[in-house]
Amino acid sequence: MNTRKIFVVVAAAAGMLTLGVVLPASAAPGDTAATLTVSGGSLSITVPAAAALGAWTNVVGGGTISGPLGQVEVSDARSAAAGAGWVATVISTAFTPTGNPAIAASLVSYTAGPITKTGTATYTANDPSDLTGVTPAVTATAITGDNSATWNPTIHVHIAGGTAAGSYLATITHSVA
Amino acid sequence: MTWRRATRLSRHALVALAAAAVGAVPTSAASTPLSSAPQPPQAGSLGLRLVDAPAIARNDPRAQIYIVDHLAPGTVINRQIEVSNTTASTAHIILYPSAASIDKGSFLGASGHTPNDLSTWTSVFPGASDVPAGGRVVSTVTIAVPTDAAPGEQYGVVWAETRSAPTASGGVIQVSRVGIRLYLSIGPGGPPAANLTIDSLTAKRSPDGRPLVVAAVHNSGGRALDLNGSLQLSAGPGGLSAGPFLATLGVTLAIGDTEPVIIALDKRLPAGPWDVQITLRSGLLERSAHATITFPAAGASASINTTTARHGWVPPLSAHLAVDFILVGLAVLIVLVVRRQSRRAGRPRAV
Repeated sequence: MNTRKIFVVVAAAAGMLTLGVVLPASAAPGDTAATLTVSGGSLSITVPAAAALGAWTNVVGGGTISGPLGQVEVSDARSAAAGAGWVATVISTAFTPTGNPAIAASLVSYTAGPITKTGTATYTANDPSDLTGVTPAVTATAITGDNSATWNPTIHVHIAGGTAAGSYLATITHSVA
Repeated sequence: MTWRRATRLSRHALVALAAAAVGAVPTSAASTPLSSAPQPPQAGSLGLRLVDAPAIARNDPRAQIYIVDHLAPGTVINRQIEVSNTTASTAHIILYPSAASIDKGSFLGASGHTPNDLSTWTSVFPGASDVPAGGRVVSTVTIAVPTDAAPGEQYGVVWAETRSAPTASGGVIQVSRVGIRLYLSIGPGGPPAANLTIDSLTAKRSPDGRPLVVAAVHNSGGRALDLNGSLQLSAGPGGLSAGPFLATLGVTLAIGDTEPVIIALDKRLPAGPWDVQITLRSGLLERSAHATITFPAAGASASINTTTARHGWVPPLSAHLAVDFILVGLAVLIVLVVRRQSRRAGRPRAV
């Protein structure tokens, strides 16, 4: 009985040694899982600037104003063999003026334009026609190793005839995971 | 053209959808958003990486870039994440968990701070940081699964977010988020087994003339899968072999879902027939399948059901059950024998 107990303790200690286990210093009570340090790189996305679409003069029947959002670059230096590539999504709020009806995000569309790439990967632009919900904008597939994609998206806002004059503001979010 | 015609038809109301707040731009490199000319890649970005992974999953490549775990109710885990800022100025970055879902083969993080059960169990500390130019900050993600958590797999994302400075007079405020995916399975005991089946292979020709192999992949296990893999062609015309070709990544397969995985091949490949061996992986799971296909001149040819390459023969369910019964029977026998022997060994000491 005693010998069996000793054997278990020795085995556990040997296991800890061979695995090189590091217990996190900040382990909370109940935290049982040991962790290892990961040496992979980061997934990153361009820090954006505010964008302007210019001015629009109302027309009968409405029309569309288009403008670039500025360059978006996604770069993936993680261990690409591990995961499922990455998906960059886009979503917009409504264009909201002060005191007037807003222009709904369903009237905002997105085109990625040409995608410049480094590394081996296939990038697919989805060019969503409605930015109300989270929608894939660019998807990376067939990746070998580190890769990056750069595109210069343009958004198109449909403005109905008779839209009230004013300054309209929207928030557009690019997410990558 | 339409723009000019539109201007001619103009009325007086002016919708100023902007007023370039370019002065509020955080980096000089990004200060030309109005130009659509190609620009060189810039360094000014927000990065995020996982710093540690569970020791038990050290062989699982998915666990090195995502938070993938199976936890019993009442468990608390901590993971460290590192935010980096490669811009030339300090960036205010907020970190928070939010919900995610798997839709049509894509892992999609929900908008903003949309919650789900998993996101409410997850916290990030510190949740906001001013990361200096070229600097890095480490935060701790804590997931505390409540004791009454329902079993099943849940998805989420831990986001690092930064936004452009507010504009005074219209335009677009831009937000960038980069995230680490969370795949968390809840339940007692060991994790549900992951499994997949490659049901059929279809030979197609893309509109630009490339031969395509489309595999119908079914997630028959209890965990979501991030697929990658390869395709090998052999026994082609004149005994040709080709490959391995990398299978399309970017497919996340929800539990129970079937999605196409597309592998694009070289235009110059002869039509076939080819013996195709496809191997798909997700983490430590690996499955192969085999079929003979011929690429059509255009469009798609009929789907071919695959055979499992590894075993060559897939035993019917009844055969599986018979083998299982024999194994269970053997195990019970061994346990009984060992017990009897240890009881005999223990008796003299007890007396």
